[in-house]
This record gives sequence, structure tokens and C-alpha cells, in this order.
Amino acid sequence: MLYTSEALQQLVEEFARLPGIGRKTALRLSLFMLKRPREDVVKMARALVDVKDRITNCSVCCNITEADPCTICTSAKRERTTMCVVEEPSDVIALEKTNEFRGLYHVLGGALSPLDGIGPDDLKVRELLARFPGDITEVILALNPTVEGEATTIYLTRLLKPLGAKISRLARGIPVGGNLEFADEATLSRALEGRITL
Amino acid sequence: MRVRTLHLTAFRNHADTALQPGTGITLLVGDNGQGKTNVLEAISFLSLSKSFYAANDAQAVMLGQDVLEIGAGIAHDAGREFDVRVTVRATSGDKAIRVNGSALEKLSALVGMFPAVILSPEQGGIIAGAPAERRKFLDVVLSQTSRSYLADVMEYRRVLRQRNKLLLDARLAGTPPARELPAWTDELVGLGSRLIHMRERFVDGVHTEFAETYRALAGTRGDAAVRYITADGIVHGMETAEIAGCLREAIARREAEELRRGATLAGPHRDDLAFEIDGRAAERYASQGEQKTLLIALKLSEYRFVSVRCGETPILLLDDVFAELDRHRAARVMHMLRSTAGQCIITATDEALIGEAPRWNNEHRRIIVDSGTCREASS
Repeated sequence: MLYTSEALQQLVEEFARLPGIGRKTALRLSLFMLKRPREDVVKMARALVDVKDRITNCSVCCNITEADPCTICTSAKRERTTMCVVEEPSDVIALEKTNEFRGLYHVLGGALSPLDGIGPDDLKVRELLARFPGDITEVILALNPTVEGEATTIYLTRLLKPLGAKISRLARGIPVGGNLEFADEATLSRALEGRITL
Repeated sequence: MRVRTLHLTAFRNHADTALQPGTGITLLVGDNGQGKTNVLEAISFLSLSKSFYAANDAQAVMLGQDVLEIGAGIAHDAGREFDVRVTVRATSGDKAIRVNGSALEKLSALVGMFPAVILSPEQGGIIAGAPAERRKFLDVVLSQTSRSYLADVMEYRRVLRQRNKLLLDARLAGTPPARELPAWTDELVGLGSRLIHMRERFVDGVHTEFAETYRALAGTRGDAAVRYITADGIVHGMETAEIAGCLREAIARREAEELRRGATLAGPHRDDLAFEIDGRAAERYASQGEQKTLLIALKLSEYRFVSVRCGETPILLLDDVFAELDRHRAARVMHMLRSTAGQCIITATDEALIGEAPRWNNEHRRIIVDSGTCREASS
């Protein structure tokens, strides 16, 4: 055995499963937990179980939530005519931080990727279509600018176009506060392609 | 660009080799297996971030050593100096590239920074080998000169794998293709048509120069030509949108066959270049010497294309080029090399092979490579 305690070994293995955590860091985290007061550790353990027990998926937008439907879907302050389609709950958090978007969301739970065995049935596409016809008149496709995000954007556009809503996608271009000279040429050439008439 | 200093540590058979190439022609001369090509390969790492022939980086580490290092002082045409360091670890295969002390996050960021044009025996396949070798040639040239081509080509390969997986799944299951196939087709056509457009423009840009260079090298009236062969319907001078339309139709026409074979059957990954001398296919009718001459003409055209597009003179690396050339052609090649503005590094087993040697001085250097060491030949 590597360590003098089986409990420690177990914890190291659990930490090591986390994304971005190797065995060395896992050991450091485990020893850190060992040094903390018991009540702190219990609090953390409970927080871990709570996210699992209390969080479900919103039956409307498929985002993570404690109440179903979620607070965004039920909020009276949101514009109910605009919907932003994203891949993951983390994308909703990122967009909410902007305070710019006041509409509703739909979380697909990923993007099309045959190599990973992900097709439309593995994404929340049926739930998306179930929201039509309704109040929604504009759909913003805010998927990642990857090969998979792009294919998903094309797929959804083909599905949603016949439903009559206005469909747009996020602009691709230069990061705000970035210098043109430091932008990579692929981004720059696509930003040039998607230029805006003034 | 010019390589001012080059330092190889534990790189193939070079334990610790330092050399200073001349500003013009540098001849690396030595017997077989002494490490001449390894010097060119090291420069290829500095330019392309990888070997020009070996697929496995870790194999370049000297036997019994753990880390190889290629260090170079490189100057751009405008005089800006760079310190470039490539390290590869044998055990893990980890590769790191540092430019002026800061590590590159993506190795592809190096491509195009220090352009090189390489001609080696492995590239004989460009004229007479499989179509894949000609597509690789196009991709390397265009990636060096256009960052957006490089990004498109990497995305295209990924889309192609995704689309092929859908077709293969359908073939294996014996069912119609998944309903998201058209979305992948759209994306493939979008990226593919941009690649075809860029490749057409490249061939357009070099074909006159290629024919002229061939004529000058061959010293005959032989007319050499190069054409890009792509999906039917696509003709010379089309814009990207028109190419996309034709490619879409070409894929649609092959729908049944695509399902039978479980693969995408039209697109830049199926295209080719055709070389001809006096209207006859070079791969079938040209002699070894003629094929070699075509290749040199192509590479010199590439050299000028890269110079113009990058705004930076590439370094020209010629590995064992003179072996199949007659005395007259060798002399003409040397004459052309001396008239190019940039740096040129040549390997040969014997100085007599290069036909007409320049005067060896600081500009043109002759370096003897002997079991992993380099020393300047005394004149």
C-alpha cells in the first residue's frame, strides 16, 4: 500500500477523479482536509451531497435548478419572447454575468459529436422544440465556436427556421480590450468576414 | 529569415554540435550516416515545429539520452532577432518550444513564423507518389503562408472524422444515416470550399513561374504544367460560394456510394495535383531526372510564393538533391540558388556533385559533417 491509511488512500483516489487534479495534488488536498476542524469537513461533505440531492434539471429550459421550473423561467422580469440556446449550465452563468441578456435560456447539455456518440437524442433538442409554438419570436444560438458547436448550430437552424422564429448566432471576433495586432490570424480573418456595415 | 547560429544537443547523432551557417549557401558534406540530414531536420523543427519526415518526435532524441534541445539564433529580414529553443523528452514525448524565453501555448503558433522550404528525397512522392503526398504538400505550403488556412484545415479534418463516423455507423447498423448528417455536410462543404479556393489560388499563383523555372533548369523547350484536380463542376476562377455549390452537388451525387463505403467521397481530402510535361502525365512518362527537375522547379516556385505571402524570405533546405541530376542541370540549380536572396543549406556526399561550387567564404560556407560533429572545411 502506498499510504499508511486506507481512508487516506480512498480520499486521494476520489480527489484524483476531479478534472485537472493529478495524484500529487489529490494527496495535498487530502492532507489539507485532514488538518481542518471536523465541522468544516462535515460542512463540505454536506455541500457535496446537497448539490446532488437538491439540484435537478428545469423541465422547461433544462438548466440546473432547485425549484422546477427554475427562477429564470418563472421570473416576471424576463423577456419571454427571446431565448438563448447554450451548451452547458456554465454558459448560462457566463451570460448572466453580463447583465445584458434579459430573455430565457435553453441548455442543450452538450453539442453534436458522432465520435463521442452524441446525436440529437442525447441533447435536449426535443425539449427545445416543445417550447414552440409559444411566446418565443427570437432564438439566439450561443454555442461554442468549435467544429461540434458549429454543426449543432447548423442542425438547430434547419430545425427552427420552419417554426418562424428569428434566428441569430453570436458574432465571432476580436476580444474586447484586445489589440488587433495580437489577435490570432484565424480569428482576425473570420472577424473580417463577419464585419458589420456602419 | 536567416539562421545565424544553431546548437544541437542530444539530437539524433549530434551530442553537442554548434554551427554557424553562411548567409548564402551552406554545403554540408560528408559520407552517408554522418548526420547531414539531421541538421536540416533540426531546422525543420524550428520552422514547422516538427520533423519534415519522421512522425515520432521522441525518436529524434539521441539513444540513451532523455532530452534533446535545438537552440537557434534566428534573424528576420528586418533584423529582428529571435532565440528559439525546442526541447523534446524521449520518455514522455513532451515537446516544448520557447521563443525569446516564453513558451508557446500552441505549437501551431510557430508555423509561418520562420518559414522554410524543404526538398528531400522523401518528397519525390509529390511528383510520382500517392495523391495524399501532394495534398500534404499543399497543406504545408498554405499553412505556412496563411493562418486561416491552417485553422480551416484543422477544423476540416475534425469535421471529416465526425461525418465519416456517422456514415460508418449507418453502414455498420444497416440503417439510413442519422438525421443530423446534413448539418455535418453543410459544415464540411463550408470549410472544404474555402480550402479548395485557397489551393486553386496557390496553383494559379505559381503555375507560370513553375513552367518558366522548369524550362530554365531543363534547358529544353519542354513545357511543364501543374493543375489542381478537384470535385467535378468546379472550374478555374470560381469564388468560394460557387465552389461550395459544386461540392455540395458532388457529395449529393455520391450519397449511395458514401453509405456503402462509410466515408466522405468528395472534398479537398480527395483532391490532387497533376504534373505534366508537354501534356503528358509526369508520374507515368517522365524520367527520374525529369521528375527531380519538376520537383526542384515546384519547390523554387513555392519558395517565391512563400517569400511574397509571408513577407519573409524562407530558408531553403535541400537534402541530397543533386544525386539524380546531370552535370548541366546541377550547375543550373546552383546558379539559381546563388541568385535567390535567402539562405540555403544543401547536403551532399561529395562536393563534385553540386556541379559548380561557389567561392567558399563567410557568405558561402562548406561544412564537413563527420559522425555527429560539424567543422568548417579549410579551403
